[in-house]
Amino acid sequence: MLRYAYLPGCSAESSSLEYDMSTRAVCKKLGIELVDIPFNCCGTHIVEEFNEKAWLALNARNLALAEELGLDVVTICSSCFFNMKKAKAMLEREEVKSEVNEVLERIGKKYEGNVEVKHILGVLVDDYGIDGIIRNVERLVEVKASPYYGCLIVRPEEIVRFDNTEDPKKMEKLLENLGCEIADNPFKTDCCGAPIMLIDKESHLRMVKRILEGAEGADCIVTVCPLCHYALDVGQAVLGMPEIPVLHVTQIVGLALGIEEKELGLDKNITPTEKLLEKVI
Amino acid sequence: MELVMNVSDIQRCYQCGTCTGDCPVAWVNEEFNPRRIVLSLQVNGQDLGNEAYWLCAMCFKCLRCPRDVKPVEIFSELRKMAISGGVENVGTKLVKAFVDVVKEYGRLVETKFMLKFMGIESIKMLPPSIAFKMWRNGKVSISAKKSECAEEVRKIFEVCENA
Repeated sequence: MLRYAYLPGCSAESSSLEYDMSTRAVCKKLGIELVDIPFNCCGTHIVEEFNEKAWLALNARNLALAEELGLDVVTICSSCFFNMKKAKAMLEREEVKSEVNEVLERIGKKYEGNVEVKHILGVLVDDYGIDGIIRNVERLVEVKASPYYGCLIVRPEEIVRFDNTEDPKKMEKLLENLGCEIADNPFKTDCCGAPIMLIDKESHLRMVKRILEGAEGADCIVTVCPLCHYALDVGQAVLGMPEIPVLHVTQIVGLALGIEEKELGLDKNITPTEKLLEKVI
Repeated sequence: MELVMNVSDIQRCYQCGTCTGDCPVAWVNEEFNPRRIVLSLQVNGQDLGNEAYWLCAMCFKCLRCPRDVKPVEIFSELRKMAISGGVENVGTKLVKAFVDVVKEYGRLVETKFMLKFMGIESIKMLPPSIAFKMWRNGKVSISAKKSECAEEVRKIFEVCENA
């Protein structure tokens, strides 16, 4: 049985609660055990730029929590994924590690560096495996789905090493096996602008618009990051654009596994999902 | 792995504009042009008050640079210098709000962060009907409580900021 320390990230408690709900439901159904840990914010580049050592220590603390359980850590957030991966790479240098461990000692923690950082998409596609998922599919989701990867799950390659940087395919591979037809988006690895949302809302919305236009004709967009999801799901409501439901990857997997919509939080999405559900159920 | 900017990186740039063609912010906002900003750094040096440095979304699209200049990391270094240099602008204000919330709660409580950064103006971020739907769907945390980890996070910042 697969077991992981589970780090859903900060937005799982509010703007992206249905991502967390659907992840828990899918993992339960597949028999993947998620062990909750008292995680902290990954800090993002904001804390990194404010105080690099504090940022390293925050990520080292999260990794140390997983180490205490002897489990690899899985996150559903691309930012947490990237930040933990980057910190882990920097902590490979002994002098950095010992400096950070001096900080962690003050809170009774120690970082060793012996667990891996995973993203839920990787857990589903690589660890659990497509064949395993196919065996659990209870209904085919025969819709036109447009994968949107965003940035930090695929870039920079030397840190995340997740999929092809220019043309990732893990989501396509997964969705095709759930019964979806793929609607390619030429902007599938472009940035949604969420990090600059509060500084330049207009630019952010123009970035969102470009991505939405790239997915035109699709029945739904599928995301792997709570920030991307917020940008596209809430963004199109703000822009008053034609409605394309934006599903978290675990929501669409959950539909294929026959999990009830409510348990997947499909009523929590801002862009309505009813019409999509009519096609599936 | 070397993740820290080297100043000589800036001088290597030969102004081909690959970064700017790849930059999704430059596509939608002509005020943000990484090639021109790097040129200005070459000619005039840095201007830490420049708010354009805060428009980089850290998406790493500009890494296809044939001269390996990495504008994304240059902007990050410039922002670090602005923060430690005590610059007061929209970017450093955002950093302060973010860090304050993480220090207090251990996690980023979105609503608290927005209120701290924008004050009452944050209600203008979303049209009322969408804001209402967010609230009704349980996506707006108004009464946030501290996470279990809050005390340890506070200690981490205390130790690192006084180092």
